[in-house]
Amino acid sequence: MPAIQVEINGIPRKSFVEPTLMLVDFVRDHLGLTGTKKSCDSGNCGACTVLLDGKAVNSCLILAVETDGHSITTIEGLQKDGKLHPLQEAFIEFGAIQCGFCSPAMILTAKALLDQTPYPSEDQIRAALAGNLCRCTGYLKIIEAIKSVSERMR
Amino acid sequence: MEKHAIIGERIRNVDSPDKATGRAVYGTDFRLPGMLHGKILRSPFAHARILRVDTSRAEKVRGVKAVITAEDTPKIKYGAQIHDEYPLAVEKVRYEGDEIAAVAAVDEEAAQEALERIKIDYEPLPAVFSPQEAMAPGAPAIHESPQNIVTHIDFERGCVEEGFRSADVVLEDVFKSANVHQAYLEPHVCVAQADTLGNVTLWGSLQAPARNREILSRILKIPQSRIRIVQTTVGGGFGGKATQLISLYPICVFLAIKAGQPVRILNTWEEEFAASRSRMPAEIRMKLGIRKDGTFTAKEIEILANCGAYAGTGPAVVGTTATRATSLYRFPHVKCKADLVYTNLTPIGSYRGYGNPQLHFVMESMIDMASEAIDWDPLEVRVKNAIRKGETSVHGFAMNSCRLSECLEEAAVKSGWREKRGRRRKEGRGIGMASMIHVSGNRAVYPFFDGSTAYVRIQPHGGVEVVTGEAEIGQGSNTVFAQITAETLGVPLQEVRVLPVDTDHSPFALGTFASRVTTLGGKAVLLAAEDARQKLLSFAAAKMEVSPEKLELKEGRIRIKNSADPGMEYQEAAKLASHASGGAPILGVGAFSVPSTVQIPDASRYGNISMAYSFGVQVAEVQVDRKTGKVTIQKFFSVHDSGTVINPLLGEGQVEGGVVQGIGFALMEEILRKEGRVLNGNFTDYRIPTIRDVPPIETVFVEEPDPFGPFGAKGLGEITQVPTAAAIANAIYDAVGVRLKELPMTPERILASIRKRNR
Amino acid sequence: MSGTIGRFAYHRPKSLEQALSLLQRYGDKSAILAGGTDLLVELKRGLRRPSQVIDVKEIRELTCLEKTSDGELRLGALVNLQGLSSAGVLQGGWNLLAQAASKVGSWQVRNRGTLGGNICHASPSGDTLSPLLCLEAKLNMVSPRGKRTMAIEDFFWGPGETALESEELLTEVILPRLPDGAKGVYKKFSLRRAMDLAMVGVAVLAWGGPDARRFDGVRIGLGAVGPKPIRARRAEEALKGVEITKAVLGKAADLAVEETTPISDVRGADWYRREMTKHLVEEGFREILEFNRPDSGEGNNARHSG
Repeated sequence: MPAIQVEINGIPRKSFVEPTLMLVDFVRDHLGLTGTKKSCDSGNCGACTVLLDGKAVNSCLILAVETDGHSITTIEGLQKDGKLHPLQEAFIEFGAIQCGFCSPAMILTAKALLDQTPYPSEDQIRAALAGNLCRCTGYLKIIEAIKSVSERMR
Repeated sequence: MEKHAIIGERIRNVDSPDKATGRAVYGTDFRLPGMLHGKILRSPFAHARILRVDTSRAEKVRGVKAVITAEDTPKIKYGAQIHDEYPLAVEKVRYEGDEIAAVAAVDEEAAQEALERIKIDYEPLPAVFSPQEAMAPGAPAIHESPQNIVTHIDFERGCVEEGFRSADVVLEDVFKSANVHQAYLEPHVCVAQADTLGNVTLWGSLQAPARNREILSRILKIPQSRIRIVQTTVGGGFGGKATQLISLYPICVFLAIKAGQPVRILNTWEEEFAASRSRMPAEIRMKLGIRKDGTFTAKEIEILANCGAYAGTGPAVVGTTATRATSLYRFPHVKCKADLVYTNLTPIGSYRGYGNPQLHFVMESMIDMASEAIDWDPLEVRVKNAIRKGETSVHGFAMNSCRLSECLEEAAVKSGWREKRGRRRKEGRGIGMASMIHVSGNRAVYPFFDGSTAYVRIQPHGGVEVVTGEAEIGQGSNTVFAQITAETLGVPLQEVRVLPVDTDHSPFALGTFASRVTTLGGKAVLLAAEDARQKLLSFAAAKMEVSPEKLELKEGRIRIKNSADPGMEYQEAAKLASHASGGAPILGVGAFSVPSTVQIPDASRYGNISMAYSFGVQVAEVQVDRKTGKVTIQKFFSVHDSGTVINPLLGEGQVEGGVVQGIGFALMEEILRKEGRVLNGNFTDYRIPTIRDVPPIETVFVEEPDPFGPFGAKGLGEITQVPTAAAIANAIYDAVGVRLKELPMTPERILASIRKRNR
Repeated sequence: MSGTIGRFAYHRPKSLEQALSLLQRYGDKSAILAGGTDLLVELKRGLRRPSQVIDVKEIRELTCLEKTSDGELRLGALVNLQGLSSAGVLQGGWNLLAQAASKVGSWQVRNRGTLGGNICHASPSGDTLSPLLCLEAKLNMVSPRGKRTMAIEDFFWGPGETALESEELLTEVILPRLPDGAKGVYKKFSLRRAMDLAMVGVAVLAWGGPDARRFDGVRIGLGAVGPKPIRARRAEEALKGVEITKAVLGKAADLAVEETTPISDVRGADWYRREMTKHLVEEGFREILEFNRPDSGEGNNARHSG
């Protein structure tokens, strides 16, 4: 069983994993970080999004072994010293969360966007989040929440 | 309107922090030591007799702890309304996806291997897929119902013949809507555990745990007192996880019993599309009579609905289709014939709107067609015929509150209706509207009562707990209950906690459907909070040696009115009360039953089924590309009369989410099948709107408190996607002059209609 | 998607030699893992059952993105789609590829999916494929037996089928120099505004000519309307050297449609695909003509393609 060294939410970890273990299952089952969700399991809904070296990816399409030597950020890694990330705050404030199943992934993708493009246009926000499906909110409050964080950072 | 501290305020959803941080525990996040993976073997045939089932090879697979078939169950038929299904097939399978056997193993791989080693001999039977085929003479019998009919509805009120005779224009047409899926992001999931004494615990993504327990008790032949259902955080339901308990849950329990270890079963998305309960497709013929003065004279409908292989909630859904939309307007004469028919397809079930969207599509489209025939603005036709407060509809709905007319005017003004209609055809732009009506609770669904019970407990350590069995599924009911409690008691919102639903602790509740939770659940919470307040102040009054009327409780402090005396914190009073009573908390009980004016409908489906009815109007502005048939929604308006909106932030969330689901229903969603097999059971080819597909949506709440609802609130959860398809269809007509009568209105269908019209 | 993906050993070669020796050893029992957005789906569906998975992401030679001294563009097979969509070096006619890459799937998929993967998966609706046909890309492949180069037009054999042999690795995509002022447009037709596979994909490329409405060079690539992406050569001929009027464009678009063999499936009917092919060919050229208008600020001379 191969050993992998992965940085998880800033903490380096060594684990032994089967080559066939998917990253989403590694995160959820081995690391117990169940904030990352599994839904379509085929890269079509985005609920399994994590940040791999800062980039938003579908963890259901990545083998855990592929992440050896890389860093992963999950939703659990967003808080700093007990304080919520501004995106988490904004999602709560703007009513951008209903059932919440898509929310961790949505927030992470938004973070990856703002890290790269601090002042995105609405079109850019929509393009970046097009791979994150939500069935409850109708997306509009999600866009508002992201815009508000971007505006506050100006 | 009375001024409230937090009712009517944009309060943050109390559950959001846990969801934003990944702390919320959903069904698949819930683990038990020794938990096994369960998988279900499903029929590959649409209709077949089961000749032989051999599980011996499957049992030998390493890591397999249990293999079950119907022989491992009491073989009791069940169903949400008609008892026509077994959790595991007995003798026959009736659709591709029907459950026959199941395995529990230490990992998914072993479970999958075991499944593949179950040997089943089938005798395929002829299958039918449409209601017409199923009702035809010589069609194979799916159950024992003549002509495969599940439910037949036939009533006439007044005389439609006379109504049509007195009309100046009579129109008749046929409309179809498709089988669409709720597409909640979290698939059905269940974790079940059974102990050696016959006690069962089930953790699941469920909307109605107490009702689910009733059904489970019947299937398992275990008394309800020995069954505990704990609701995990639900990742969306929209009706799909409500009263019809799909076989996955009892199967999970049977596996846990046989294996002697906890078992988890989780649906894949293929299984969701093939075997969970989605929206009833319907073919509806409507005949509408209208006079030149704009009044409707008669309406006749014929509904042919495809139930799929088992009844589920179908009978109530088709009953809704038959009666609800009609109650928007004054119709002197109505006639309805409906057939809900078994076919060898996935059984249908409840999906937000519960049969109402299907008829709204037809009726609201035909109203526009009729308006054109008499050369009237369809807005004015709606205004002319709109039902009003104080009236009773042709089906017996008593409108204790109704602002439909105001919603129509507001929608027209906000959207610029009068300036835009019929004016922008050259650019392919159009505007369309549709009205909506829905219930706040439905007395027809549960025979024994409609209502709710809640407790509000003020604990000795301070802190207020709300205990209810009505389920949070993401819509925000926990927040609404917390607001109602905080407002009524007079304590800060942060002090209030709504406890999770657990049948061991929660009072019996009918569950989250029929838009009943804020209205009925909220009413119970309100009564419980009032009771708790009264008890607390009684005690405090005795302590302070004044009469209770002299006290007020505001922002958590009990003080004598108009006095400088600082009084005491409510926590202090609660603590002292518990010391004086052997440790008891202040316990407020609120038990609410709907007034006796709310009735179960009679055999002709006539009856005032709800305490309050909600109304509204949606307007869509579209751009249609004549070359491709593609529709872009430029702007959407949704104007609502849902009484007092307890939390407008969450209310808007319901509107926006519902409208976007409605856009999917209108323009892009359909479960496609060939000979009973799902062709597009994945999110690539079953397309729900992405963030790039949604227009700006403006929500307006026209608030007038309802006399019965808590703080005047009425239902809002489902109505939001009821008229959406009709509004869009009407807008398309305004834009390019083609009338689409089949959903979804794909670019292909629109282009074909444009071409046909141009020939 | 049951989630069980079979059993396999995982290799992560650090060089091309190492990869080739693995390929030599395991041949068709192995699968190449690049971005994984196609392979992992196939594994989950049980469509492929390799016993060895070879992760090529650490092979430096496969990641280049540079112009050569001959003015060609050399793209490593591992360049990911997101990188392609924003690559500054994809100017002029080559921008066609960037446009196509930006339309694949979602941001998450593009962050992993690679150019080489999109090509080797050879889906009839693959977004980069018809643009690559238009750009007359050349593919460099390497196997234990040596190297070879192939014109992309010869590479696709059918849905999911290519000329790539079981021990072969696609290493680079070479885009030949295009004449100055070449302009390309990729049009993708789908029901939703994101995520969907193309129902029809049309790539058009044009350059040269004595005035803004005439082209010396025209190339048209069509995707999702046949078992493999195709060049609509008869349509191309009809547009070379003539003034592009509405009628001429319409006739050429009809010729393009004649070269298609679309099927009816869950995404769309055959007649509708033919209609959209015609429509997108016309739209694509209208956009190029817009660019070429003297007053549009993007005249024939504006950019170098090489």
